[in-house]
Amino acid sequence: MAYTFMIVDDSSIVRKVIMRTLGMTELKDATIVEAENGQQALTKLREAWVDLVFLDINMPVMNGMQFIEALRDDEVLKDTPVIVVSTEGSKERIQRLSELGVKVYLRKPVTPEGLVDAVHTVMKQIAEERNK
Amino acid sequence: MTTITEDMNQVAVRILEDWAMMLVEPMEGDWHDAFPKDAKFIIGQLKFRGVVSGSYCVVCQENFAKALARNLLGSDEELPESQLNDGICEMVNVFSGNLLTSAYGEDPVFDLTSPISFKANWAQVEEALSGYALCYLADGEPVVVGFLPEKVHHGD
Repeated sequence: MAYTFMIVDDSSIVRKVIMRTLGMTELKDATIVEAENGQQALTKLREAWVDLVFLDINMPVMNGMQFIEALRDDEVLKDTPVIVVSTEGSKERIQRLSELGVKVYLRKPVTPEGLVDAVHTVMKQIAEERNK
Repeated sequence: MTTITEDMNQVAVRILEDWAMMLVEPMEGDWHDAFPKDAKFIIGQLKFRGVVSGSYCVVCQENFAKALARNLLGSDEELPESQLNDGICEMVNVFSGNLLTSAYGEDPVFDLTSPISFKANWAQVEEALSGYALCYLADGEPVVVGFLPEKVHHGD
């Protein structure tokens, strides 16, 4: 089964690095949707199904925290799994992300191995939840 | 208790070596000696606000920006200027986030602006590096990381 991933980061180089990392795994056939900020991501999520979102926090227009809050308030999109990839280090904000249902929090700089492990963990969770 | 420059050094070396995959050597002396007098600079900068406010920056020349972007993308191709700027912005973003936690711990909350990068002259670099500055040779190219504190807020 081919998955669709969305990468939300204002840095095109970060989006490319994540794509390159995914391209080196068995997930290389996944479709990748890119967004430069939370607002653009919400618009694209309303247009097409996405299995998993990789999300930065510090972005212009709509930041990652605002995006997740909007996502959880959306009746159709609220269960979309999210992996946060950010430099955020505050316990308070990381706790808030967890309360908002973020599956995994990865602190930049992220290694390819760390990213792939996180994807495997979340994809396994998603498969188990869908089989319930 | 470490000093701010020790924290800066630890974070900068880790990011340059582990994330940017560069060979890093610290440069002795002042950053002024690291660049030719007619150097054309790129500054990546990010401001933050919290219990301490200020800005972090990365100062380099185009050759460093090219090497950084190529390493991050695993590409030997000529890259557009937008991607060189993107690489510098991301470096200052990663540097800032990690240094704030390293220096002030995980309890304080900081608001960060989106990083920007721009071409700069010697005077702009002087201003950006008027606080703390550490200089390195990364893959043979000079790069300086800087921290310019603004003010301390008490109890707000």
